[in-house]
Amino acid sequence: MRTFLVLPIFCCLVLLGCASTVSSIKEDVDIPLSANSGYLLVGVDLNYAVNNIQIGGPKDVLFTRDDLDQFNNYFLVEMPAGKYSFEKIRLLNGYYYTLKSGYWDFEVKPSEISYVGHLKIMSRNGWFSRYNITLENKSTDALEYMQDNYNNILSARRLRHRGPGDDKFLEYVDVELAKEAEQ
Amino acid sequence: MIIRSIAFLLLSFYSALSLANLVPAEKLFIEANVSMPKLSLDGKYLSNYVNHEGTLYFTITDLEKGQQYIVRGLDNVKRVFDYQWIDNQTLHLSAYQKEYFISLDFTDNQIKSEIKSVRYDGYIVHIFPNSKQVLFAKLRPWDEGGFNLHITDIKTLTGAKLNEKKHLAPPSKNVSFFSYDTKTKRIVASMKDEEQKTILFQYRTLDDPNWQPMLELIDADYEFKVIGFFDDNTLGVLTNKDSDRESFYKFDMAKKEVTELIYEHPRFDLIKAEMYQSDDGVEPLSVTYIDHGRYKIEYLQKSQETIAQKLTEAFEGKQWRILSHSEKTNQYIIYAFDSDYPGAYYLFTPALNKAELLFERYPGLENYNFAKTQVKNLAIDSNINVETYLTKASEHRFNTLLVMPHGGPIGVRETAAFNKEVQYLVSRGFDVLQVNFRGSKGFGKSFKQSGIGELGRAIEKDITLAVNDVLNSHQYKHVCSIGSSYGGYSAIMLAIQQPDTYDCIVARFGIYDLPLLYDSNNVRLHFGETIFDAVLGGNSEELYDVSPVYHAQKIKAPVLLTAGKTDEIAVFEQSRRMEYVLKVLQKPVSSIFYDQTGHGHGSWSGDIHENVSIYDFLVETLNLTIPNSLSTDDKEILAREYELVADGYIFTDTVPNDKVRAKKYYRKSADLGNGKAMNNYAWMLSQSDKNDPDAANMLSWFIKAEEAGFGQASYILAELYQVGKFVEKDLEKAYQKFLNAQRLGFGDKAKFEIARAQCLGLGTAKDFESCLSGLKERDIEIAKEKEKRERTGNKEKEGFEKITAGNDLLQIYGKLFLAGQLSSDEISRLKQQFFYEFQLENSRLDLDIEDFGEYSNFRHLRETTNINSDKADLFGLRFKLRSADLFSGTNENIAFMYTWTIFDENGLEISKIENTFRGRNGIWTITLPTSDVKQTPSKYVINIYDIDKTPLFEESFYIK
Repeated sequence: MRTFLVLPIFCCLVLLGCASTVSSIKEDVDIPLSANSGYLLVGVDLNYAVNNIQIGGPKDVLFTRDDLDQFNNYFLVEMPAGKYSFEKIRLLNGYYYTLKSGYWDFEVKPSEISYVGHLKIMSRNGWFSRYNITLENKSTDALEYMQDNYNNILSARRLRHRGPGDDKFLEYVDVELAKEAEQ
Repeated sequence: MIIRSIAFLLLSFYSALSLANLVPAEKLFIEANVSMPKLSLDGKYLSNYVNHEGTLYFTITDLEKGQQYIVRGLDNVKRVFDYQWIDNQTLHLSAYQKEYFISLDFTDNQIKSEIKSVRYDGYIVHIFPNSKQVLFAKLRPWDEGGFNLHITDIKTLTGAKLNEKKHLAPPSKNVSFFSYDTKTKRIVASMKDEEQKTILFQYRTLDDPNWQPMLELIDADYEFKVIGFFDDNTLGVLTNKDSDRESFYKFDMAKKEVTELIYEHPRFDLIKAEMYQSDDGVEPLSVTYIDHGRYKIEYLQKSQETIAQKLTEAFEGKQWRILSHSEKTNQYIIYAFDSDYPGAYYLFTPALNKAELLFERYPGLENYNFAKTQVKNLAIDSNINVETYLTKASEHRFNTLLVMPHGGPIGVRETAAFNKEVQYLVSRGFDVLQVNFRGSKGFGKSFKQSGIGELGRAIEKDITLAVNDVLNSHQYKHVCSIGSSYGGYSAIMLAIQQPDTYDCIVARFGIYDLPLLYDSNNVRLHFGETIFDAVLGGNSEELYDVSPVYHAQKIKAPVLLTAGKTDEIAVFEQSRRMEYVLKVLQKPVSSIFYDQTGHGHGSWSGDIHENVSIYDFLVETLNLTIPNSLSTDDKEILAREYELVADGYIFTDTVPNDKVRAKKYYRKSADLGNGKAMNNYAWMLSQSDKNDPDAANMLSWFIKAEEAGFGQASYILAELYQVGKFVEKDLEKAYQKFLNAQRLGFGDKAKFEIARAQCLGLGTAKDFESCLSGLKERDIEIAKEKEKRERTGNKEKEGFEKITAGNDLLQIYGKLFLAGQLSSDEISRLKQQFFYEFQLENSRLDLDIEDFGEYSNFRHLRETTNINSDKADLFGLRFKLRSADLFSGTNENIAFMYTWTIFDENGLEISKIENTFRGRNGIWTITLPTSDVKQTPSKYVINIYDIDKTPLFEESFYIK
């Protein structure tokens, strides 16, 4: 992890702008999405307690630890389509990290489920230690999570990787692998 | 250490005795405990670094007297990477995160040693011989960065007395490494500029503070290693800057070009060159290269040819390296090894032509035979030749060829050194083919570069031609591919390209989706391009054409995937994708994904687990029959290895818990006669579903385990006979089984039950004296075990075992007191011994109830005897106990017993729980979990007694 990707700041009381708290979808029921919006699927992989994760874009949102505990480290929410980025991560110990722009971007496409990666936050030594923060592509985990928990939504929507890079695995699974499996 | 003399030219590398054909994985996949033998400067002492199960120490042998000393006191040292004698009484250690000095005093035939650590962050650049002056690179404050150079001494460094202001200024804060050239007495600084892709070298002498330009490498796509200075302006370098192969040159620093070729091999890259100080100045000494897989040193000075010749003759047929040399005694430490020889260290005295074996690298492998690797040069076409390495099992035991491509693929290679994984598979009956395909290192720049971007193309073409060459000379019944990292990719890609050739695939820690290499995470996406371009030749759509994930439909052979979940090179997602598509396509695939494991195993137990699993996969998939002719020793080895695999699925945290696989491997081990596996298999049957058809055989497997000599099985059978579970209650049989358990080495627990049976006459004639002495004997044993463990420093284990063994003893006493079958005299004597062993003074107790009824997480909810609240997770009581002796102290030990008697709804007793506690005056809690009892209406009666069986409390709880 390059340290210049994140700017650590210690602060006990931080106002996190105007981001609104959102909760992960609980029911496996595909809802009629608002015009020009889609599902955002984010995975979180932690070995240290996170208080919240702030995302900025057409809509600024805040994922909180309550949802993390409840949903096996995945967030599935409806979001306006557009370009977003992870902006801040606030840890339980009071640290928060401002993520450098340009390295944490993703996109939510209309009508589909945009899996943007697993935000991996690993502490080396606990309190006051260094944190490795990366956005990992774990498309297979995400796919199986959707199959196991939101199969109705998955059946109604395309699941695609819309995080950093140009990964086509989910598209391949959806289109070509499905055909090959039928043969 | 025993030094064994071996006569010149009569070196025998093998023992005539062979224990078994199969090499046990436990002896193969193991750390070499003794390593880094070195001679002191005067040649008088030989030192070895020892890592014995995590305990570090040095052995030092006085070669004249044959006396050996042990240097301990390395408790705070985590791991030693290297060390050197800096004079005849001092060792310098480069260890994990720290450097140390050990001073040695050999006065009066005894050794006194003192270890001191360097008290500053940084590293030692050079130690000036005999003066104990040190050139030290000290880390500057984190906000300044870089290093300062200090010329100081050991005492100052270890005594934290460094004058930090007095230092030699570095040329820049970006110095990545300092070194020192002893011949020209120059400090060399190398500076790397990542963004400009340059490496800059500067030097200075000790006297002149000015740093002089030496060399600048700009975006070098060639190798360039500085060996040393020939003179003020001329370097000795290994480079392929102006040639295809890495060769030994003189480099003119002013002209910035190579000026004279010293040595170039016609086919191979040089991997090492040496220079030496002669009377006429600095001259080339030697070059080293890998010739057809074999390590070869060639001396360029005639004076040194003799020693090379002598060593070649002394270690005839083996490869050798010089590790250490004493100029004073002219003795050498030599490491001899080969593809069929795990290696050993020798002391070689040229004057006597004598090589003395110091120690084997892996002493446990001394008596096993290994296969020699045959190296062949194969012409792929008019321009390309590749080396093939074929290691054959004796008599092609399974008539199966395993094609094993190496990792990398660029800049990695095979050699004909001892390869544990190859030898394991060959020992198990498989032939193994390895290939130095294009892209491998050691064969020149163009050969290496010809592999870039040829993944799934020319590289696999080379391997396929090598496979065909082998198949032309021998018709194998089966061919499988196996490899790790890039080798894992290649193993699958070969089977995709040649589906009719391969019967099975073992892909380990592999990459299967090449575009994912670039964007497996956001850091790689931004910073990994250069690294991956150097292998893949660029990120393009064409990578999908050669990525196994997208072509899995073509795979016909069964696949075994292994991977590490924390792998940061071949990220776990790679293996997850491969497994996913194979499953969707309903291809036969099995996987073993290791927890807490990166790009390979961090512990040897992981290697053992994986390699044995691979062997089993091959045998099962290819439907191979393990020959009946296997010796008993061999069967025991296989059985033990299956047992280890099964244990891995139950008892370790590196493999996910998997009872189905554990049961399978215990059964395999049991079928080969392993008593412990029979016992564990029976235990797993006892835990399995009632529909399991094998469950009915549980008892017979315990009996077989007992017959195979596994004491724990006797003990379990005794318990079953004792209570009449699965068998008819038979106390005599139970007693005999306890005796048998003791005879078979499971005496620690059996002794308690034997004593109890003797005390109460259960299944044997009552024999109170034997009972009493048996309990006393066991108590003495526990005390001795504790003392031994404290002496050996294994306190963690001691703590657990002491508690376990002590509790077992306590429970037996409690059962005897509760049984009510002993005379008052017997009770009195038993009590006397019990009081002595458990340091008790009084038996009479007073009990006061604090609260009772329902509890949640040990918090009292309500006082009731009708247990029906959904919120309660426990029921029972909390009470205060104290000795009835008015003069007892608060810290006085007490002991008490209690029983839970459980009745069904018709008032019939179902079962009884007995327990005995020892502790201090104070608050105690006795509870049962409600989850265990809410199924059916029942009554639970609690009775608490003192050691005299005087009732202290009784209450009934009703479950509705």
